[in-house]
Amino acid sequence: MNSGLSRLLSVFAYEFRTEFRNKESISGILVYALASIFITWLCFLQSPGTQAWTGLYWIILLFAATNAAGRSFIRESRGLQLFHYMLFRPGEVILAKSLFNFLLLFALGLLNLCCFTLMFGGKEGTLNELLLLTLLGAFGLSAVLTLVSSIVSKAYGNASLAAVLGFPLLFPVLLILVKSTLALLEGGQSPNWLMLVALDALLLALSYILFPYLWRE
Amino acid sequence: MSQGSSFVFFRGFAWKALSLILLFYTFYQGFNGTVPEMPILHQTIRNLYFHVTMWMAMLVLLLSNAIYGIRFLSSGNLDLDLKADECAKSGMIFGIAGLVTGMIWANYTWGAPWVNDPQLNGTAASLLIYAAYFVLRNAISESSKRAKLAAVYSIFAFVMMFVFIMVIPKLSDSLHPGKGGNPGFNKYDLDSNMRMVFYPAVIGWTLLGAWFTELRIRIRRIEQKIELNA
Repeated sequence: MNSGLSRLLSVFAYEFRTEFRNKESISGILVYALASIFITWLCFLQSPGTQAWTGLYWIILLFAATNAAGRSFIRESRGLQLFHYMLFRPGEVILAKSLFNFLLLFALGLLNLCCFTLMFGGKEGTLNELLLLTLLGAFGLSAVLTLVSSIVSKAYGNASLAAVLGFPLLFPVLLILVKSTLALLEGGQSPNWLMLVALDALLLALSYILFPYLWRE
Repeated sequence: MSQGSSFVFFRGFAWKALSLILLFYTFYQGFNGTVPEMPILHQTIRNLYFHVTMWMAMLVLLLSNAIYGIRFLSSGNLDLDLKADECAKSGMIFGIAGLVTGMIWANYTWGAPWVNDPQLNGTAASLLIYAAYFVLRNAISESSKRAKLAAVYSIFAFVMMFVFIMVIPKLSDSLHPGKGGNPGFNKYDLDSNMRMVFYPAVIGWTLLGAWFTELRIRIRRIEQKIELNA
C-alpha cells in the first residue's frame, strides 16, 4: 500500500512537472478561460440575472475543463505510455491523473468564481457553498474527463472527440450542479451535498474500474 | 442469438410466435378494449400501450448492450461486440419511437410536443449519450480496439443514463403521472383491464426488439463470412 501510494505520488509529480514545464499549455488554458469569461461580459455588460449567471458559470467551466483535462492522455507519446505501462499499475495512473486534473480544474473553477463574482456580482452569504459546489464539480468533471481522455488517446482522436464523448456522460452531474446553484442563488437553499458526493464517488469508481481495460490496449 | 444463445428461451421460434401473439393482442385491445374515463387524458390513455412500452423495450436493449460490453471485456470474443452494437442500434430505434409517440401524446394532453419535463430531458439525454457511443465506434477502424473502447464507454454510458432517467427525475417535479401532484399511474394502473394489456404489451414489444436485433446480428455474421471468403 505504502509503495503503491508513493508510486501514485510519483505519477502525480510527473504530471505536475510536465504541465508546468510546458508554459504555453498552462497559459493556454488560462487564456481560454479568461477569454470566454470576457466574451460573456461583452454579451451582458452587467449582471445577467441568476439563471444566466448559473448557466454561463457551469458552461464556461465545462468548456475550459474539457480543454484542460481532455488532453491529459492525448499529449503523451505512444512510447511514454508504454514506459508508464511497465512502471506503474493502471489504478495508480488513473488516480494520479484524476487527482492532478482535479486540482487543475479546481484552480480553473476558482478563477471562474472570482471573475464571475467581480464582474457580475454574487449573492451575500453564498460564497462558501459556491466554493464547495465548484470543488465537487471539479471532482466529477475530472473523473469523467480523465477516463474520456484515455479513450480518445487510444482512438487516436483529437480534443473535439473528447468533447463529443465527455459531454453526454457529464449530463447528470452538470444537471445536479446547475439545479443546486440555482436553488442556492434564488432561494438560499442548501444543496443536496450527499447526492453530489455520491455521484462523484460513483464517477471515480467507474473510471477506476474501467481504466485497466483501456490500459492494456 | 438463435443457435448461439445462452438462454434456452431464445432457441427455436416459440418466442417469436409469442411476440406476434402478444402484439396482435395489444393492438386489438389497444383500439377496442375498454379504458377508464380520465380527465385530460380521455381516449389518449390508449397510447400507454404504444408509448411507455417503447421505453421498456429500449431499456432492456440498452441493458443488454451494457451486459454484452461487460462480457466482451471479460472474454475478448468479438461476436459479443457485434451483439452489443446491434442491441444499441435497436435500442436507439425504440428510443426514437418512444420520443415520437410521446410527442404526439404530449401535443394532445399538455398542449405542446416539446415541454420542460425531466422524463423528456432524460430521453433526449439518453439518445445523445448513445449517439456519442456510435461516434466513438465510427472513429476507430481496428475491430478489436473498437470493441474494447466501445465496451468501456457503453458501461459508463449505461450507468450515467440510469442515473439521469431513474434517479434525478425522482428529485424534481414532472408532468408525468405520479410526480409533482399529477394523478399517479397507480390510479389507472389499478384498472385491471389496462394492466392486463400493458404487461403483455411490454413483453411483446421487448421480444419484437430482440427479434429485430437477432435478425440484424445474423445479417452481420453472414456479411463477415462473405468478407472472409472473398
